[in-house]
Amino acid sequence: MQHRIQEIKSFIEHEDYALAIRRMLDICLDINNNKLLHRAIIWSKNYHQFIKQNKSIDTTFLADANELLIALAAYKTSTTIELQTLIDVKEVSKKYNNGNFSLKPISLEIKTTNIVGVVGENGNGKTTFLRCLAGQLSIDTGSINYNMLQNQSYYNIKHSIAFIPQRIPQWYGLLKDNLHFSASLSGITGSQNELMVDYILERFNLSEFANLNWNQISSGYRTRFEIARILLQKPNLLILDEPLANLDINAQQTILTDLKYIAKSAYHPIGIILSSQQLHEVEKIADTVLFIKNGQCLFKTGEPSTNTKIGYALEIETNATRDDLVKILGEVDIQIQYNGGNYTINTTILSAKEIIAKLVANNIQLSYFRDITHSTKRYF
Amino acid sequence: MNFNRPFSPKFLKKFDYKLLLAQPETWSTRTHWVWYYGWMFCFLLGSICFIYPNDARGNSGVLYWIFFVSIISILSLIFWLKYLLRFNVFKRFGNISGINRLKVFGLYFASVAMIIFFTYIPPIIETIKANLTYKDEEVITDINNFNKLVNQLEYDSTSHIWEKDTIKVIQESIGNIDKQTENTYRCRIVDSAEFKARLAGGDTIIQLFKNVYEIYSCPSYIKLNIYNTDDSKAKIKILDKILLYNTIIKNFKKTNETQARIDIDGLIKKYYFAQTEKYDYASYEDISDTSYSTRLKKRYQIRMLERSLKNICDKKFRFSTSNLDWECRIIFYISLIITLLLFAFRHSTTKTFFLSILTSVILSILTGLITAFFKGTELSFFELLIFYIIAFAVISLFVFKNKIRNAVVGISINLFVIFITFLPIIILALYDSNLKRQSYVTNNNLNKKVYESLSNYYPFTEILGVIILIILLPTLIHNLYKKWYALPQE
Repeated sequence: MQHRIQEIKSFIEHEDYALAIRRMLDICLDINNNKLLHRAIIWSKNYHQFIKQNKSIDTTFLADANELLIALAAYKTSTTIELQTLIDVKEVSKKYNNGNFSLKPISLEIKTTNIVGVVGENGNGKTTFLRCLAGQLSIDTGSINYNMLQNQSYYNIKHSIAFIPQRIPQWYGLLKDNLHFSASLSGITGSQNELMVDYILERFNLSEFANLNWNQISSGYRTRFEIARILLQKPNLLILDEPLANLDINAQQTILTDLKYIAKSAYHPIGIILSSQQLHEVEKIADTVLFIKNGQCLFKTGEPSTNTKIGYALEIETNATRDDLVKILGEVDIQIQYNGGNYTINTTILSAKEIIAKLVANNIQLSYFRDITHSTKRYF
Repeated sequence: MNFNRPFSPKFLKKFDYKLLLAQPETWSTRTHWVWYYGWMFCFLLGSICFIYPNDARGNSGVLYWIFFVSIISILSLIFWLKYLLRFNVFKRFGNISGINRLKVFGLYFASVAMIIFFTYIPPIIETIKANLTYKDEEVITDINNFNKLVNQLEYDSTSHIWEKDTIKVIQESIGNIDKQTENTYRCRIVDSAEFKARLAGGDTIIQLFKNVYEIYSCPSYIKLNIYNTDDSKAKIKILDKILLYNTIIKNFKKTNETQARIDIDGLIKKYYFAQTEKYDYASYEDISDTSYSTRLKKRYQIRMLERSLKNICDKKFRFSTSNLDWECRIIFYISLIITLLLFAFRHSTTKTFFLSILTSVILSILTGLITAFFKGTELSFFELLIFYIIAFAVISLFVFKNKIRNAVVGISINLFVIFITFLPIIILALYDSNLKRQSYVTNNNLNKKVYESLSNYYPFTEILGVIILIILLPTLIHNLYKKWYALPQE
């Protein structure tokens, strides 16, 4: 707890109030204290008022923050999370009745707080795999054991697993009404419902859009509203299909960081599976990454595979030609691929650091580089 | 509803918000808004109908009103559905119990019934206005007085001889008796069925010998014949021809003709309505007719009086005991069918719902073809209906074995839900038809009595159907839909 309080203090000191607010709301929810959570929500609303009115933060705001932190410091509640296997997937495969595509056997275990990233090119089976896990598609072989459920009926599975598709179905009516509706349908009623909806709106910075309808917000906000709605239903496992597709670069970072915190929330820890094309962003937060190509899992974090790539790999963007690069790096055991924008350099003899050093030494201008030795990007 | 609701009171807004926070299934039906705006509209419509000048003696314009209000009802229904379809508690895999499902069904029904009730407002107001203008006793007294006065004035012109008919009742089929036999007996030969009918039509009967009767019919003393009065709740009853005979003709005493004529003129003036006369096409036909009855009608303006009083009684007794159950049935069954369709739609996918409708249409055509092809009767029709309902129930149960969401099972569940309410009435109709058929074949009078009393059981089967639906909704139907919709799609 002290560590988290220090983190918030640090954010406030560096005037990173938006982050401080999100962490403050998270802690208040984790300790399950409605009064403090209510105060944190008001504090957050004040901040958003300042931003909206283009005003600078005043001393009252900081004093409120201090009061909240003092109240939190008095809390001795342990926030240890008990890790539990949520689902155990064994050799699951799926073939569609119409069409040639088939998903080859895939195994996976997801525990509470785990984030699993499923990556791969379009049309390679990511969505099929996710829909199988969510109980939306039946499986042909293998088994999925939903350890989190005593009664593993499909209704209970769909009640406990939230699936957010890439194309989110339209909401009707006021966005806020939808949030209240979802919460009350999940058993969060009365004043608790009001509190939780206020919390989730502030947590995702959606309050100013709450009284609008679906057609009045952008696709990025629609994704955020959908995540907010789903979280109010308190699922045990959250499955997101391409959640980053409609988000700008900042929103992507915010959502991914939020997902990390949501998974590890002491109030309601969950497992998260998400598919995405944003490999590097997903790799940053995922505990396990699955790479699927042509319906087959080619790579899974922590598991040796026949397809495992050896050596080093580096991705660079430069004005230099392939010949220049070959000249500098040498021809022995070096593969240089050009995809039209970037060069991918694969080698067993030079590390990424050594390659960069050689390129810099030869006055090659680099506008971008990334060590992808341990990234699934190598499989693309 | 994300628009500023006009005329919505604060308490209802608060109530709406409380429902949203605590009872999403109730909130999503919007029944509270439907009832609030529904009653407001009823009050407004009722006021307009009340103010609108409409003489009880004139022809009713209520059909135009019903047509106009029906359009409003349909638009209201569409408007309500637009908001209802926004939030579906059944497809969110939330905490929905069987009782909640029953509650939602009840609320759908209440909303639909409220909207359909709009069409009842113009006739109700017309009835209220007619009842305020003319009391039951007043109308009945006037009809009786008119008949008494005309019979007194026309005593000398009317024939008072009772019609006599001598009949012999035989057990054989009437087809075997020819005219010659009738001449031998000097009477008409009838079978027991016709005898029964003659007894009902006759006013007095005398038994001459074994199986030979004289049936007498009283002359028609009812000059002003208003058939649609309902005197069941009135203290004074309508005088039939026998009572008129007993009170006026039997011990006839001449009265003051001038006074009688003044009284009749008073009644004619009271019920005279110019617009009614304008549309009385029968009076033009009377011009060439010189018979006594036509002359009588002209003399006392009976046609005009009949029309005015018929209009008054139409309006007054529209919701009388004998009509009320049918009026209730209309609103009940229209609401029930719309609710069942809506309920099925909310629980199944759009594709499955419309396939269910298509299936029922195809089954109707097939049933017609099968019945025609095999020269079936109504018995086979009812048997087929029962077979369908049982088949839908059996196929629906496969949902507990299926691994994927099957469209055929979905269609069966939908059709089972829609038709189960009508199962008891179909079974009774089958039993009823079967008895009638047996009775026709065997000429068994005992069976006739049984099937005559069967008609009393139809209301019970209607209630039983609703009870079955109420029992099945939170139990079997709840589980069927819950299981079916949760299954994987493929």
